[in-house]
Amino acid sequence: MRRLLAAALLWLCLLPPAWTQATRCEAEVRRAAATLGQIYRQWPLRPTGDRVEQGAQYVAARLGRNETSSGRQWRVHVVRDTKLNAFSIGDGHIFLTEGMLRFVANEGELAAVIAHEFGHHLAGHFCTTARKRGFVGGLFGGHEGEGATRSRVGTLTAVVDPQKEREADRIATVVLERAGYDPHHALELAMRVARSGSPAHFQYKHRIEALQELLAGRPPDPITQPDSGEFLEMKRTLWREDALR
Amino acid sequence: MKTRSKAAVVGVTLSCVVLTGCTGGSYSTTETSTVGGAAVGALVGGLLGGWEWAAIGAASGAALGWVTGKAIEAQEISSRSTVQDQQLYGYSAPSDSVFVNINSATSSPQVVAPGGVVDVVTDYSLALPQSMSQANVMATSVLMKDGEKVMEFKGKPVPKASGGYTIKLPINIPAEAAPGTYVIEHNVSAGSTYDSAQSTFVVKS
Repeated sequence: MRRLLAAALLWLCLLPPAWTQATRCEAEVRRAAATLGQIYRQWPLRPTGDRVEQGAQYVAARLGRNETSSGRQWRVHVVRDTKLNAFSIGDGHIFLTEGMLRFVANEGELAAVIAHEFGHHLAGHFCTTARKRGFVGGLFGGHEGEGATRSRVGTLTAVVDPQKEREADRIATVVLERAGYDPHHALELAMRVARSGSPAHFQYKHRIEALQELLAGRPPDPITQPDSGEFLEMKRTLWREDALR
Repeated sequence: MKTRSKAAVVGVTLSCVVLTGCTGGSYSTTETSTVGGAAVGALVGGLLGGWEWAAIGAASGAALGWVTGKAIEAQEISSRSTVQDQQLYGYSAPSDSVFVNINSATSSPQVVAPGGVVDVVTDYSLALPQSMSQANVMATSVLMKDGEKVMEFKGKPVPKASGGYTIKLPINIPAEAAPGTYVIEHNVSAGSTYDSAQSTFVVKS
């Protein structure tokens, strides 16, 4: 009996603390790897290292410089889709559609999109919700509701939980500020999406209020930062491609 | 082996009228310069039937727009059902959107003499929401040399069912074609998604 008790105590000691699980867990890594394989096989992605992907990756790297404690390598993938969308699959993998990259008006807005996805990761959303292969979290879009809803994103299942979206937004404002971006970009983007009439705008309407509350005590930066060369090159590449169509 | 394109260029449509089998169709080439449309020289070059001429014209002349030229026969050389596609590529149909994905893009032969023929082959998968039986697919190709667009081949969107398709565009290499490496950009679009890939061939002197 004493041996059994000792074994049980040892097992409890070996369990990772709750905050560790909240930042990154084995299940998240495993699920992300499986989902990533599925996406690589099935989805039209831009090639790694092209100028569009590099521009988005640059912004993610800037945000990620201050978010290394979770042990993730932040990696942005660009989907050849004109719809407005951004989502994550866990383990640092963030997906942005070309539609979203065309929509963002400046680097700060792109940073806000990516920071929101950071927020889902850092809040541990990929360790707590999904049990199903093909789970996608942190989707901009989906159905609005009090509870979490599931919908399809291409060939994957997305979970959109309004509570978690707000939590991701809250963390995103901190991530943005740490990286030197004005967190008000998140609010500006949300307001523009809400006005855009895109399928994502219903969800944004409700997130605006939460963002306004979050940023109530913080005035916007008086000086607008210039966009980086990487971001501008990304935009130029997309414009050139649009012109050729 | 598929090489994804660095630049998304929409140019040509290779399309077929029916969903299965090998079907020929008439397709036209369009010629545009990289900045602002085709030039007078491109028009002349296109009408002369040589894309080398067309390229020179496009690079040097004033922009006028595009020109339709010779008809090119594109063929659907094979198709796969959704189940077959799933077995081959692990592709499962999404329930909310149209998805297109290029599986392979090739040009053969890899080395060709002026006056020869290069087969530009694109294999792609199309996934549709369960509520849709068909979606319009545009398969386009752009011929490039030294980073400049030489010619694009354009047709019409064609309705396709969910599954996989292999299409072939035979390109006649003009006798006066400049030697060197040519790049083909294969583009397929459907719904809000598109995919792009590159292949190359060499025209020997």
